[in-house]
Amino acid sequence: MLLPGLSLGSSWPASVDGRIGPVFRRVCNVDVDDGSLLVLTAPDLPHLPRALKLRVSVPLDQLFQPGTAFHLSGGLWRCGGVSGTCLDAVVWQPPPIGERVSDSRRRARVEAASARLGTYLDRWPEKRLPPEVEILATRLGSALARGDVGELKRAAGALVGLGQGLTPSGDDLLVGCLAWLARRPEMRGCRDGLAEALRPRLATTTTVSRHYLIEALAGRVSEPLALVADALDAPRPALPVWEAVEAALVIGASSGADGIAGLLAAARSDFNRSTGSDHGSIQ
Amino acid sequence: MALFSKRYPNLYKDSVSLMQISAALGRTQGIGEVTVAMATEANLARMREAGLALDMAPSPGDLVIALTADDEGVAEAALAAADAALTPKGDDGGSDGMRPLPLKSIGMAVERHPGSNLALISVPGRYAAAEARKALAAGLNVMMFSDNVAEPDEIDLKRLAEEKDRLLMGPDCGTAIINGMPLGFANVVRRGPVGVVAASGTGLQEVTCALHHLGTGISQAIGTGGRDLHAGVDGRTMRQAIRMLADDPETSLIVLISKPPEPAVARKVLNAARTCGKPVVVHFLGETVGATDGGVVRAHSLRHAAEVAVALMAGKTPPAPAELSPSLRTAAATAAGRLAPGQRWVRGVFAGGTFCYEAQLILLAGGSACESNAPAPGATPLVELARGHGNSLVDMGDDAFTEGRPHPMIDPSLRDARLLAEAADPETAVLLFDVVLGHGADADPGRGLLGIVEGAKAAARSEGRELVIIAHVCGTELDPQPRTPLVAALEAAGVLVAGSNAEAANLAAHVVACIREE
Repeated sequence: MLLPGLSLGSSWPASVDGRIGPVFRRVCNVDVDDGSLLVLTAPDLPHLPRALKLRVSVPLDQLFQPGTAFHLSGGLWRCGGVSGTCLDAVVWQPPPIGERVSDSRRRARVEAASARLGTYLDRWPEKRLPPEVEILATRLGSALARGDVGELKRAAGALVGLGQGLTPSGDDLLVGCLAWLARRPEMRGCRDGLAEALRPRLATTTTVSRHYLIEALAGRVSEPLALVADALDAPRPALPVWEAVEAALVIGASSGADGIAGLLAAARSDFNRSTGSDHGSIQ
Repeated sequence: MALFSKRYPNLYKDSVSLMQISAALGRTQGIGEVTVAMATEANLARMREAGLALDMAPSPGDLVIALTADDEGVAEAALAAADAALTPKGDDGGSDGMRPLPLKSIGMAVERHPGSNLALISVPGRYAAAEARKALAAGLNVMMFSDNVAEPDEIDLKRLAEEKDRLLMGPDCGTAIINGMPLGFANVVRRGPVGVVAASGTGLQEVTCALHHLGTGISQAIGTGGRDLHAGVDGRTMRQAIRMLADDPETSLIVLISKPPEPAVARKVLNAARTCGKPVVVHFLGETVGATDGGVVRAHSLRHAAEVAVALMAGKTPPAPAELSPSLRTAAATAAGRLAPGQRWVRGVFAGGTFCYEAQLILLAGGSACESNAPAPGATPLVELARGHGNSLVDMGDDAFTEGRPHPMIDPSLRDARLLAEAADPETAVLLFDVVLGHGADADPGRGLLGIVEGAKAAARSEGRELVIIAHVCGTELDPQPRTPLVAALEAAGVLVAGSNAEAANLAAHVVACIREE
């Protein structure tokens, strides 16, 4: 059985060895021997930086067993009795980062995205940031607005692993924040500060979350978050902000909303930096 | 209370599930503090602060439950309940914490649902044509909700659709009802013998709702896209839809709606209507209405098109356009009499582009000049986008207002702000607006609107002014947001609610005429 690959993320490696980790119906995690993570997904999931979409119609948890050895080399992979190819898979590239939309239009888009997120959270209050994360998120946004790297590092460090689920809300929020900072070379100091705060703490959160934080520190995020950032910032975005936010909100139980919250906190700091106003609440 | 805990190595659950389990345990009699979370260092630290220090060393990939309880029995029962909740129960739609995006690949969708016969395409304009070609190649009919598709692409796609004997609705087709299924923005209307083809979204909604209110129903409502009757596109979808409805045994009469077409295209469309073998009612907004011509009857307004259709099906002579009722005339005259000196303009704020267009035509026909961001022939462009001058009718669904925002039919906040701004102008006499109900529209349109109406009136009163507020609610009782309660609430708030957009605009024009006479 040779499974074809539909598409893969831009940081999909050439060769690795690992073992199948947690497997779900549409997601199969591979724990790579070097401590990193690969993801195999069903065709209808969004792109991820280090994932391969398989052309399959059966649930992945019927194909893969946790603990089975996984070997990838030369564009072919093998796992127990299942093997596949990524040679024909299209490489997914996020929308390019380049020219920025004017401040006034970006502000309108940020407000529109915030309003949509607010409406969504009014309907699904259980998806709001936990209070302890919300407090730290506000500190993070204020620190970004002031360019206060010390406070940024303290808030970010405390956010790592904070929250209940598979990818704790604090981590999702940080990923969203990093997605915006990747578009802002002038905020390199803040991004470096975040990296300094996060790297020593990566081992303290879940494996899956650690993986997304590592990718985000390298400027790579999932397709929905990349599209939201593009929709807020690009003069001719791939998606209108409304559609981009809608698509991102359906990711995970609350991961989509948490990631958007982080992205908006960082995006809003653009304006607050110039006006010097306080950051305020992000949700 | 004693501490009890359980560890699940390498068990992953999403945060909402864990929160729900925590909440359920917390409501249990005899249970104190509860935490159900991944055992990250940050979460363990918070648990310690809450008095839930574990005597185990879990890894960040483990899930832990920690709780305090009065006695061991209560704790064991709670842990057993949590255990049951954490045990996978097959396809629960989210155990992996991820849900699918809407299908993006036409090929995948056809593979998964081989009986499909229509693709609704709603992607950014520059990708929409390619998706439509894929859908047509797969043998599907197509509704292109997307706008910003180049006209040459539209022409090419419509040719391809004709070759394949498939219907291509759009681009920029916001509404349709196919075999009783509402697509895009559409109202819930009775099924019946009238087929509607429209190059105008809210025009189609207005006519289908009016037909419903008049007691009949819809066989098919087909949107063509706003450019279909331009010279290059040549009315291909409208002519094809006429042929399809002519062959449809469930359709007895056809209604055609459009803004003014290119004359050559109009001739082709009217020729198709004359020769289709079924009675056809045509309303081209703003066009001088001629006599009945070979079974084609011309109507004067969207509402009138529905009235003519109903009369023809009953074997009656088509009625003349309805005039304002004496009671509405009286109400308008009375309201005009309360206006302060200097209040003389109509300020229209519309979610429906066709409603804005039709209202302009009616004001112009009544001798009142007007300006708009989407001017009808005879109207002038807005002097200032942010505020009205003189009589101004604003289409809030125009791109200038929807940058980065949903359409005002979905999110009326900008419309509401504009209403308040126009109400604050001491020269405003009439506030005119529409509310569009139905699938896709704001789920609770009265929620903010009634407050806006009250706020506008109160602000005017505080300056010694009164406002005449006129509204039209396009919808039916069957819509997700039933029409009657909203109409009643608006009327209770002092709004004159008209039965159609044309009537609302006529009422506004009548108020202006009363002011002029004074």
